[in-house]
Amino acid sequence: MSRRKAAVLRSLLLVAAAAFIIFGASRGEVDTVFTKAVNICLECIGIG
Amino acid sequence: MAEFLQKIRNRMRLIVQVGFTALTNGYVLGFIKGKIYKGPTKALCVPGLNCYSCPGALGACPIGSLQAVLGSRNYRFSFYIIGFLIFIGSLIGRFVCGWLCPFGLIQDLLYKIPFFRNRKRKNLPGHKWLVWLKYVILVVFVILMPMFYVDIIGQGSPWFCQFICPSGTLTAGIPLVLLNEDLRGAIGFLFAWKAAILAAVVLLSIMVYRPFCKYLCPLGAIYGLFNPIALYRYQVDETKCNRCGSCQRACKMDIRVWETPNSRECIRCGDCIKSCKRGAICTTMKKNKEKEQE
Amino acid sequence: MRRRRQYLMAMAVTALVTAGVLAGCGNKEDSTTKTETQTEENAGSQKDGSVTSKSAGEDAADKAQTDGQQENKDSAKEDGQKADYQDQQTESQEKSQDQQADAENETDKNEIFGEFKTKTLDGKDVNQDIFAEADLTMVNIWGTFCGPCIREMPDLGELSREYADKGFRMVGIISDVSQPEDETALEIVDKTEADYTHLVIPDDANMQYRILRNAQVVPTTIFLDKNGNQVGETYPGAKSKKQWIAVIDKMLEKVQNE
Repeated sequence: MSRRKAAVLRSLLLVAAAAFIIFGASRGEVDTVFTKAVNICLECIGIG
Repeated sequence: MAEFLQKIRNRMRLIVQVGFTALTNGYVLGFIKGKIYKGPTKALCVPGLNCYSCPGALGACPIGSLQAVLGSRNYRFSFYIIGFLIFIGSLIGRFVCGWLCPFGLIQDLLYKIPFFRNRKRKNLPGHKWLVWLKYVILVVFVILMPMFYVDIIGQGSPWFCQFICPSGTLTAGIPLVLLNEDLRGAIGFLFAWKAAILAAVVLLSIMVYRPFCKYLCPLGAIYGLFNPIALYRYQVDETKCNRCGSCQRACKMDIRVWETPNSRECIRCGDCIKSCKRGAICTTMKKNKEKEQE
Repeated sequence: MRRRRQYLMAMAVTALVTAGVLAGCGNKEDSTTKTETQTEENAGSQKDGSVTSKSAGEDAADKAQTDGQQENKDSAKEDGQKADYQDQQTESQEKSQDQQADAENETDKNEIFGEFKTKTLDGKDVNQDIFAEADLTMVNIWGTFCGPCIREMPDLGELSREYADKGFRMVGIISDVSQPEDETALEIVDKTEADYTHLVIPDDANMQYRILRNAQVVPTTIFLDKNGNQVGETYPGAKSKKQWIAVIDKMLEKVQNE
């Protein structure tokens, strides 16, 4: 892949990533992640 | 003084690994009380495989969070987590694996233990096929199962976390069970299964370099896809390279660096760069620095 | 050769330190008894005060905690009740050493929930007298976000019906719901046919702390006799129906043979 093509693809991906993050946060995914992260995940530690 | 700085430069990767692990798992209170951190930074992902049920964890694991969102009845796709992974991947690719992941650090340290001195090897037999296993694990256990194997109200379980992840067992399961007497009574077959997987990975890691990263880690699988186009990547100067193969010999992931400096398997440890006597390999960061100096 | 020795030493030191920390924590656990969750909490938070003021590494944790509190206070108005309860839990834990002393004086050593006033999921008012209605009450603390909790609820529903005439009562406490008639909770109760009484936890910091301090994880199950005292141990994690039958029978024997 030529340097230029890679650079264009990378820029597109970074912009898309930023858009995804903002959109995902706005539709409440952050809440889901937070809830999962602050309650001990019994399944993760091998109990539930 | 110059000698000291040189020593630090040689150990830079280890220093960054330890420092970043301490930073993202700095909730010492959690280890003292046997609880986990519940503050707002837990809504943010850290780049490496860092279980959010670890008593010290200050952030969320991207793979765990991905399973949580895909498993939730409200979502079929996670923009937040995928966006985060694309962002990190496009910037640094598997640099995370080599420099920022706590479980990577643990495997590095395990490999240094001088057991099996005569039998230490880079890869397991069947390496060529085994490297694809991590993509299977990614697709099946991280994406498909949480999405489609749902319970009575449409909620899925985190299959990778539940049945495979040794990082979670080591940094979360074992500390929490040791620190909480009432949790101890609740462990059963699942805990034994996870402990067995952890033991196997630990023992293998003493003999083989980073077996989890090479063959099992779904996060490394994702980041690896970005290696060829990441902002931070390796470049080989064709005019200087004489294809001597020193880089491949130095590379513990066994990559033909002169052919594929941005292989999906490369964790950016930099051993190849140090080993090249002609200085033919460099990072894009160094290349840009040189350009500015000219 | 020298490098290897250095690494071995470093790892040996780390292992020793880890072992020391874990052993230290282990002793602390042993010295406080299982059922005295109140005194454990007290000792825990007192140790907080002394230990966090000492070593350097914990400054970061301290800062994180106070930062967390600050931001929690801000976001509490926007987010749902979950953020509230987290915020208030840290707040209560930090400030309420006096409150704890009071609570301890008011309630018995074994009275888990003490006095409380809340509503059921259907909107009826309840208080601590709910436990007086049966010889043995099985309190199952669960959450709408918690997969394992939901998966064991059909079994719990069946158990509540099977043991209904044996002086037994099942009560659910929903850890992440503070308003009655919550849609998600109602749907879960409906689909799992866990049609026993479920309590929500109001937005009162003191009440939330008192009820939820027994539940490190969800699901957590506690058995109470008709005076609101705990019988047996605290059971974290979900169990199969067969396992619960064994536990319930044991607890019933305990209460009804006294």
